[in-house]
Amino acid sequence: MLQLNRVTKNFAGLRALSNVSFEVKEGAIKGLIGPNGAGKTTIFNVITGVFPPSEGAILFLDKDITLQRPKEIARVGISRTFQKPHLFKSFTVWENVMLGRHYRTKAEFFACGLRYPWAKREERMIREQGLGYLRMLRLADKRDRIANKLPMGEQRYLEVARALSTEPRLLLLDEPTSGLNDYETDQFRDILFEIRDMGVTLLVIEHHMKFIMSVCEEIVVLNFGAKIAEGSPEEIQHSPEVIEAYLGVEEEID
Amino acid sequence: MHMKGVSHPYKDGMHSMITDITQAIFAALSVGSMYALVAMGVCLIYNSTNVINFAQGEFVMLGGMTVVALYGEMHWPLYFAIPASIAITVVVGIAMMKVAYRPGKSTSLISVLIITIGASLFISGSAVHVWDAEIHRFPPFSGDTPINLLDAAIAPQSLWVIGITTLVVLLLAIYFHFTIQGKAMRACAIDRTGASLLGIRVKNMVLLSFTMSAALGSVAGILVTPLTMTSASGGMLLAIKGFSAAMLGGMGSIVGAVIGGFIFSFLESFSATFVSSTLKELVTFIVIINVLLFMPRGIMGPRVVEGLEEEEYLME
Amino acid sequence: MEAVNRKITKSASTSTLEGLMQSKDSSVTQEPLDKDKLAWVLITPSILFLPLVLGDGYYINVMNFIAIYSIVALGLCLLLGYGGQLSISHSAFFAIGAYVSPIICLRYGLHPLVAIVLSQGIAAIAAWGIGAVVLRLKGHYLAIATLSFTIIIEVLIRELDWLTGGLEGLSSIPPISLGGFLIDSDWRFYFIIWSVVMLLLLFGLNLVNSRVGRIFRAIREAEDIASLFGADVKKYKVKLFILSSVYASFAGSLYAHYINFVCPAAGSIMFAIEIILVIAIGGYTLLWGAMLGVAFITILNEYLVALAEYKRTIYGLALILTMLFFPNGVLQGFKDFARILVQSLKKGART
Repeated sequence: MLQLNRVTKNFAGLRALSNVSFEVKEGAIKGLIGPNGAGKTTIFNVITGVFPPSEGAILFLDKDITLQRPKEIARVGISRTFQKPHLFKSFTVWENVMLGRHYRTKAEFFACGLRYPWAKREERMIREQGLGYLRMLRLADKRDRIANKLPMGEQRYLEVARALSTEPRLLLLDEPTSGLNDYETDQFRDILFEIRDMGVTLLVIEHHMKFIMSVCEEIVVLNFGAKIAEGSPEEIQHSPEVIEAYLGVEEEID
Repeated sequence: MHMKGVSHPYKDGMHSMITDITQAIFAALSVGSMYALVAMGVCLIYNSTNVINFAQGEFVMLGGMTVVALYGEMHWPLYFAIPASIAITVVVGIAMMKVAYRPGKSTSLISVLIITIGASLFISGSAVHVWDAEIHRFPPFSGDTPINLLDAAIAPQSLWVIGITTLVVLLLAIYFHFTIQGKAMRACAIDRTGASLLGIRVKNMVLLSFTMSAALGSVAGILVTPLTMTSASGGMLLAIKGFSAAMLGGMGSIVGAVIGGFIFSFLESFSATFVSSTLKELVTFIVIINVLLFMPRGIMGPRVVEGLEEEEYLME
Repeated sequence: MEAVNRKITKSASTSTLEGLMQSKDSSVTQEPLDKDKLAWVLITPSILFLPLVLGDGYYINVMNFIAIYSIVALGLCLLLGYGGQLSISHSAFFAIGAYVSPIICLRYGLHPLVAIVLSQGIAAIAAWGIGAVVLRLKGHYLAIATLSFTIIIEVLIRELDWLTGGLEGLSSIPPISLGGFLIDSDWRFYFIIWSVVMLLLLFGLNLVNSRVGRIFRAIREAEDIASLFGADVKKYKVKLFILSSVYASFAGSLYAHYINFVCPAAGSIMFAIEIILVIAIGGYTLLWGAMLGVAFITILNEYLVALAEYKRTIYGLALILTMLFFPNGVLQGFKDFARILVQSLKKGART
């Protein structure tokens, strides 16, 4: 579904990514890990068009999306969350998710201002679907809270819900369990499986090793901007290059 | 279509055109000095507080009107009247700062903008009470007899304006580049948090910037009133021109403000002479809109561009 | 192959969604009672019955002006309060409406209604032109650019006196006539203008709570994020700007045909500031903010006639104090104050 071919990114002398190639198959949950500074978020940025790669190509559903900007990427069917949630802080939880439906809906100024019947029906659908996504992320009972007032963990959930409501084919999650406690992390694992069962492909950046090993079928490992390993969780755990890269990190790898 | 006030420069040939051009140049230099001073004041406050001071024009007005009262009517000698006028304006400026600038409180852009508009109205409204709504003037520093240059009548006051403004700009340049205080102010402008971490008292810098801004404004008013007269309500338009000039030069750059002020006044002056004196504002504001669109950073624009959110994404 | 995949995905997602939705009672998703709309339903008949109480004369006249300015305030409220665009061009568009319609009437002899409709079209085109060009700017820069436009219009009105009557303005502007029925008295105008106001208000209320309303609130809050969700930000900003400007120009046209006279004060910066003051005091919401704010200011103006000299000073002071102590508008400030008061009383009662 998603293919990165020899993607390289230079920032005025700093080589953030070098010759990274990997593939994400449709319906998979793929992990992207690596020590701090390895270039994981940069990969996301390049895929979603925040900046273009210096070299290489990115293909999505066999179409070249290398040079597309974020707006177009969203249209193509890729959604993404951020390490720090970029929510609409003054909106309620529900409104945030409803905004995600914007792409898939049509009512414009006159339809909304004059409340055409079809616009009213569409609005009702937006509310229902939004609520559905909230239920999925266990946020339905908080739907009328102002997004700003949620604890950080729930804000992350909300961002996922909102990204999901755009009906993406591919969802990029950037450290979604960061700051979650054990219970929430387990819950999130279930949520990820539900998302996958809905037909969404997932690429997840993570630092939480136990979590990522238990959720992904395949994992890509980056270090200093280059891919150092790719394979199943067992292969990764026993790969000498990976262990070397993570020297000094706690034994959660086992 | 018949436009009022169109001059016919070519009727009397080249000679007349040279006269007109000379006249226009001096007008541009004088008015430009005023715009430059106002723009510098706007710039200083913007640098230290990120606020565009709509009331900047009132400082000019206060400078001029106070000297009108002290020198023109109460017959104080000039060397008392001028410092007194500057002092009074500075006091008003500091009062404004206390009211408008709340570092702790998170005030939105709209709020702050509206506060400065409110301050401008309040000051000019009060001025109408203290004085009146009429146009005033006081006699120029060195008399009224125009100097004849290339058959153009140049008011001697113009030379005062240009001369003193040049002096002020030079002094400011020296201050900002060679004194510790000046450098501290520049540091604040570039990065407030960083500056405060270095022990620079940002609050003092803000106070200083308001003080200097008010002083610059009042000097502009004092210099120019003998030429262009003043009234209690002229401030707003001047302020708008002032910060348009500052924007033209690049908001945040003092040098840019000066350049912007002169470009503005030259555009105005030459439009007035060769197009129509009443439509001169039209020309200049159209130019402003163009500048904002195509050169939003202005001529000497700031190196930091607003809204470079790409930086956020570069975590990791 | 791709189309088939899409279908599978879609039905997979909706089936899970439906599963989630069926588990709860669907009345949850009905739109909650909109307090503002309820207020609208209650207020509208009251407004329309008010003339019977007030009788003819002074008060009707005041109410008419409140209505005219409300329309401008509503437009600005949508643009500034909800859309977050710092634009100071509403007085320019008010002037465009107030001048273009009479000019069309007086010069080309067209029927006032036709002239009014045409001038809204012209205003919309002007708004589209200006907006498309200027709305890429933000914050201060947008304020200055729109203010420059306002000054340009002011200058044009003053100087193109063969067209606009210059400082003397245009007089003998024909009143609106609806098929022979002349709207030439305060009473008749009252019903027309207040119907227009309530309809435009309803349109605004509908807009704000809808998909479109959400997207321009999102643009106000975080433009770049909003664009990730499919909003063609530029298109929305321009459309909102056009809407807001046409509100203002419509008010201007109605104003001109009401008092049968228009002069350059219609496009003055002071007028622009007055409307800003209205929103600042009233708050950024449509019903309570814009409309209450206008009512308050208009009535204040009537009392200030005696103190006309102090108008500038008082306005200035009002702006400063409002922004300092009631950043969300006076009404909201009182609400907040009341809430804090109640909370501290509760705390006191507990101990």
